Amino acid sequence: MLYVYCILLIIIMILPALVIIPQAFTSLNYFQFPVEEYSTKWFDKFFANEQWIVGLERSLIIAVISALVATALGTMAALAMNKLEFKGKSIFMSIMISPMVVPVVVVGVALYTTFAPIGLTNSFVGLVLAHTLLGIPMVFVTMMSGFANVNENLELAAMSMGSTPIGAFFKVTLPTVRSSLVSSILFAFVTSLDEVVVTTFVSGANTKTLTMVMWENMRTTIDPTLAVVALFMIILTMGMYIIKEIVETKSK
Amino acid sequence: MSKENIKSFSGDINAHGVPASHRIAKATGLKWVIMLLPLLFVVVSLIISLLGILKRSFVGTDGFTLDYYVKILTEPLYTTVLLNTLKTAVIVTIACLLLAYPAAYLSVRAKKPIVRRLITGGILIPYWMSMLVRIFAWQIIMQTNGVLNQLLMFFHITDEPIQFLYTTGAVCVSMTHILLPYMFLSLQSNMEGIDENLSTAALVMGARPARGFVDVFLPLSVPGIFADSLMVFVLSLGFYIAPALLDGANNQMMSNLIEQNMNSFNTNLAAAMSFELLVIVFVILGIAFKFVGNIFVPKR
Repeated sequence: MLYVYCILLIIIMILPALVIIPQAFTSLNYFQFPVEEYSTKWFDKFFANEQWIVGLERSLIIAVISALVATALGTMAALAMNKLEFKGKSIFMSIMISPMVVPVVVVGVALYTTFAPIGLTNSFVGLVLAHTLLGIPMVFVTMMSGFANVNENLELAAMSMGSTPIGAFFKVTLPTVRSSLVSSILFAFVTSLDEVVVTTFVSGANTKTLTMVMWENMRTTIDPTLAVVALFMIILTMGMYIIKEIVETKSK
Repeated sequence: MSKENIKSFSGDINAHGVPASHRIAKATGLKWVIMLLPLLFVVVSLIISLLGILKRSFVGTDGFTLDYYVKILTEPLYTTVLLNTLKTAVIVTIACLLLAYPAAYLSVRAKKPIVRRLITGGILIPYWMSMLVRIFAWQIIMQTNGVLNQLLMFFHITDEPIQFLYTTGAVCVSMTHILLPYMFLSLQSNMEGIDENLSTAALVMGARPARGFVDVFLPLSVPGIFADSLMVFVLSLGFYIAPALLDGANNQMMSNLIEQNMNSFNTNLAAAMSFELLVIVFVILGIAFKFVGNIFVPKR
């Protein structure tokens, strides 16, 4: 009974993806189920439209930079949380996870009101800053549990073999949290790639990301090009999931 | 490195006996950097901005005023949206709980690790699919001539296409789809903490499996249910994309009204609504914190 239920639930959870993927290959101008005649014309339309291509490039660049910055900052914060003794630790933790807890629209409004007067709205830097902010709690939470598993005796052993503390950190500590580190980067990458709400406030005509263009089209002209974009998004994000799974399995 | 060097170095370690990551963290200067840099980033970009909009919600063109709060707490447009937001969040939370609980239970209780992996993987796949894509998919599925209506008409459950889009139901379905993996994951980690021997003991003592579940496992899982539901509730309060695309103009959620006010340059009203939403979130987090601790940090 329970097994049947679980299988049904998983099918329903995956259903939206199964429905959307074939639609990218339709020959019609609208969505029809099932797709009767296949063609790649919507792929041609996607690649012919500069708006999509530029958006895709911009999304990828922003996602890579903000994922790396967020991972650096989030890892530092997690390290401070795990290894340092200081007053107000719980306040520190609350602040570090606040970008995840505060509703995204409120984050958007807040960033807009700060960014607008100093010219950061509709700018590349502004978007990277905003996406980094949203990635930090993801990294922070992931790395905290990563550092909790580090065997400190290994670090001591490395140092007794002549390694400097910094050397031991990079040679011993980081490799043991490698899978958490990879997960963190991927989490932050996907968070940035998929972000819409804060981006609507912070981006402008010159800084539209792929999801922004998609979002605008979803509200106005729905055609199968959107299914092509959706397919690319699925490939990108699922690719990250698969990488994460591989890294985690290997490190076990 | 000469022998002497190594000697003096290891002597140093024996004196302190502190692992590298501690020493890195504690090295003067570095200590402040790893703590202050991320802290500064979040405080400057988010916390100070939040204080800025808090000020805007009280200070209009003529100085200090409570008008904006009076307006959002009394005008029917705003109170309806507030109630609608809370209602949607309650429905979604309950739906997530009811749907995810049996799956989480099975995944924790399954004898074979592969079953657990498959269930967890299957439910988490959508978690890794772009949220925007999933909402788009639901938009296509629930169209008047979409899959759902075609299925219903094929099985002669209905002869006329049903209007699914632009209803609260459509929003709830897509939000449940998005939040279910969160609920599943945290239920799963809570259930892992429940001692399996207690249920076994109940069985040994002659209880039927159902009794064992209702009298032993279920009560033990209640604190977890409570914490996880509050987390999903908080997350669902802030939804923006799903209601913007799938809901009618008459039953929006707070996020959408905030965005509209921002777009029409009613910044002060948007600021007041933002704080209304934030206060609700913090009250719930406060309640949760009192009973079960911080619900956003995984307990491992």
